[in-house]
Amino acid sequence: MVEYQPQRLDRTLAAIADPTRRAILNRLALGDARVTDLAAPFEISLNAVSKHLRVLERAGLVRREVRGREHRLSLEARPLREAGEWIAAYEAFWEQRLDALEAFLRQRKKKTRWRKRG
Amino acid sequence: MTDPSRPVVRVVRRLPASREEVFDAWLDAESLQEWMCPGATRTTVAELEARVGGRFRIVMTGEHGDTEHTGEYREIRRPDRLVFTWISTFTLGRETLVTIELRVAGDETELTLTHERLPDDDARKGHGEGWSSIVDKLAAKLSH
Repeated sequence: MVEYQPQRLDRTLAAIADPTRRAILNRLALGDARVTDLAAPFEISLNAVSKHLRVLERAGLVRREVRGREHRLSLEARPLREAGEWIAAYEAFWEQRLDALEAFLRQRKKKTRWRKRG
Repeated sequence: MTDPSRPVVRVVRRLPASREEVFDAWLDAESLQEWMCPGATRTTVAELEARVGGRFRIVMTGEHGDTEHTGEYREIRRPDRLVFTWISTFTLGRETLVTIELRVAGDETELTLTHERLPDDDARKGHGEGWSSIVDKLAAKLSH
């Protein structure tokens, strides 16, 4: 199993726990955008969008590029992949253990039946 | 119910045994040794104190050395619910939470295992859509 940096993962998870921030990420998944583009679909101020963007930037999910007066924002995929991998890794871990638990229970059932018959 | 905004691993499985049998398999050191660590060359349950606040320690020896899983029982409600914390090399020492729920399914038992990271304050404030689906969707979109 791959090992992750728990603090970075925590930041990623906290960042995507908010619905507005998830909507921003979904928008950026379609392509780069300016801050004003991002604010348009939401009924919140530019200031509020900027706050959300700062959280996303700190979590390494959004990259900002300043060109003159224009700020272009783009999505950084890597932290999200790590979060997805954490889930996938543990899913596999428990699937494997439950396979073994199932086999263990079947085995024991067989033995009990055998004993009863004998 | 778990908060949908929290990171969650969920596995559902039907098992050919009564709820009591399934439940006991989780709290019996000998049983655990049989099935908890498949693939390990040797598994030892060094410690298992089946009471709320009691702890367990499972050490598995594999090709790459020892892996230790430890935790504390938070809720023991035979035969339908077991909650314990889970700390291992894979969680990098961080405390996570595992909930086992057992339901009668005909003459079998349906087991639902939920494994979640404990939230920090920021994450707890979040609401809305389940998060793993978001992660999946985005990750899928981005991996191309």
